[in-house]
Amino acid sequence: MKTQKNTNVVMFTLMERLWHWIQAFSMIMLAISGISLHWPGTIIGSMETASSLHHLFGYIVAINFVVWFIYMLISKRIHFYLPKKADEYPMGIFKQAKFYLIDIYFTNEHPYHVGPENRMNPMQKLAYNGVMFLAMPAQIITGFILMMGGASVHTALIVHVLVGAFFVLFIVGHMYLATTGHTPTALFKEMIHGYEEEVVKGDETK
Amino acid sequence: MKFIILFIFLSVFVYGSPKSHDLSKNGMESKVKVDFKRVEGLKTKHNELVKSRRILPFVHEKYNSTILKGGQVFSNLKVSQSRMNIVDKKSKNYVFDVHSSKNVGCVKCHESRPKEGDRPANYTDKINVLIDQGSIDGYLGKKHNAVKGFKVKNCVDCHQADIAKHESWLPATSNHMDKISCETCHINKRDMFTAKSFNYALLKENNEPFISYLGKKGRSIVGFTPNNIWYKGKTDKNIKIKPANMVSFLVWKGADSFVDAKTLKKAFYNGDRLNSEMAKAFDKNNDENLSVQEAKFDNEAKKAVAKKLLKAAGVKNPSLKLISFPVALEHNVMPKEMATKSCESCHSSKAKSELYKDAELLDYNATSDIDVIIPGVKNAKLAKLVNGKIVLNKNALPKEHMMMVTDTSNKDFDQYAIILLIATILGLLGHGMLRIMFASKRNSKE
Repeated sequence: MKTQKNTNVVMFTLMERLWHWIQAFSMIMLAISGISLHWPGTIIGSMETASSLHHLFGYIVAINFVVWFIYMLISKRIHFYLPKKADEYPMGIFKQAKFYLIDIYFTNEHPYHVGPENRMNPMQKLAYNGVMFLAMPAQIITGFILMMGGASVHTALIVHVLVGAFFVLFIVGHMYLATTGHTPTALFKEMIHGYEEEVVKGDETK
Repeated sequence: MKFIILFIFLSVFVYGSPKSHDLSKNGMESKVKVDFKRVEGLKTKHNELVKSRRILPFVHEKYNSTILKGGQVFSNLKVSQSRMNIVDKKSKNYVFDVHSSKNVGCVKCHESRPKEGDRPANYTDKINVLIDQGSIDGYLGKKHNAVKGFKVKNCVDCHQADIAKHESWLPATSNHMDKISCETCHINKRDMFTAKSFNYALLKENNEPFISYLGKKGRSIVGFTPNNIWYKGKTDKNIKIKPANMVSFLVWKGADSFVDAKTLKKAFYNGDRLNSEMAKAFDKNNDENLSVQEAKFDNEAKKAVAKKLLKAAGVKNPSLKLISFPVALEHNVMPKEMATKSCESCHSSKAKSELYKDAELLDYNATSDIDVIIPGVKNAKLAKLVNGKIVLNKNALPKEHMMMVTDTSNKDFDQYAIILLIATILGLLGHGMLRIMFASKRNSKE
């Protein structure tokens, strides 16, 4: 199966793509520096460097989060995250999970069509709501607490490390699931040029 | 020449000057003033000791010194300028004490002008802190307790601005400051030796204890690294990591009280010489002179002889007791360039093993009756036996004091996290391979 760019259908605006790649790079840097802080000397030899990098990308992610939230509200694209009838909650989640676990081996047809107006399947919505409205704010808040110090540092550290570990797993899972488009690279391409990657006519059956 | 100087110093320091040790004819009384005084500031909540509010039965004035128990040298000279036999001193081009080098004398921190009625008899406004580097006795002999009992300043009283500067580089500054004393980073080594254990269970003929030292090899001073442990200092409200020297005292305990020097003399000595039974048990080389090594209660035969003699001297149920406690290292602040600054000094596996390393309390197993008194820390099992030595078990310190000190990892959590990550990666790889396999089958069918 081959795909091509359909310039008539905008999946991701320039703002969203910029946000996404800044987020992606920052999250990877945070994971690397975070692991180096958790197990000193493992990836980045100097803990001071690891600490500086973690702080720098922590600020970037925090600012990126605020920018994303404001942009999503102003552009009204926040509705992508809201559950809809078509999502068939809660069964939609199981339906999508069944596709990832079983059906994906036999067909490329996802149970929920994803397009410019409905960009996420029910499982994605659940995951991204958890990431963007729970995990990310928790990580930013606990990160600031750790930087400032104080009585709640101990609790903040535990939360920060746990959520950090979740993010590492999330990054791995997110990168893998990005290969489950029409072709393994289709979704990556969409996040680069912003347009839908549609299946080339006459090539649908492959 | 160095060895001669050191020998003279050691002779004077360890054995005291010949004049002051001129024993009277019967050998029972020494002109050395033996004080049966309390060790101040070491109050413990231990049942027995709380009642008496007394830690030790007797301590010589000269051994109740933070200088001897902490290897502290209050000098404005550089280590390299010292005439003491410090190993590799030529490369040590830094001062013993940064305060002293900047003419911050004792009275700047130890309150110096108490009102007239409160002044000790030996009170002096100006305490000469400049010492003769050729003679440690020059400062060891000084009356450092002249201003004792009055308010002592600590780091924050003078260094508010300097402390604020830490915020420019130290993450979570206030948290670090809450958990770590200034001294931990600013006193990270000592180019001196210090007393480690005092054997008050078998006194010398001049009533002085046998002392083991730390930071000394033969006649050379090799220095030592302070033990960073968690305890409540005299001025800190919170338990903090502070550099200390663990000092241990081995004493005899009777049914009701500790055995004092007079009783020991009566039990173990004939005049100014060890009696024959003690000499036979302890004086291995028969030179009629006990060394520190010989004076150890390191086997049951020695203990049995001593117990028998103590009982004969009227002591009921004599037993050996080891009392250990940290002596805070507060003087000898290093120049700031030498302070511990790298994160890895504390936050690394190596640092972790250093910080949690057992601290030797006594280099042989004298007794199981051990009191490790760490102010602010309640734990009865702070001592353990390792390779025949009694050591401070730092891992037994309450965990709440140890969090955040090294890396942030927790073994159980780490294990589960790594297993989960590996399982996720393997699961996804397997999933991906199956997808490729099924896709190729589909393609071949079509």
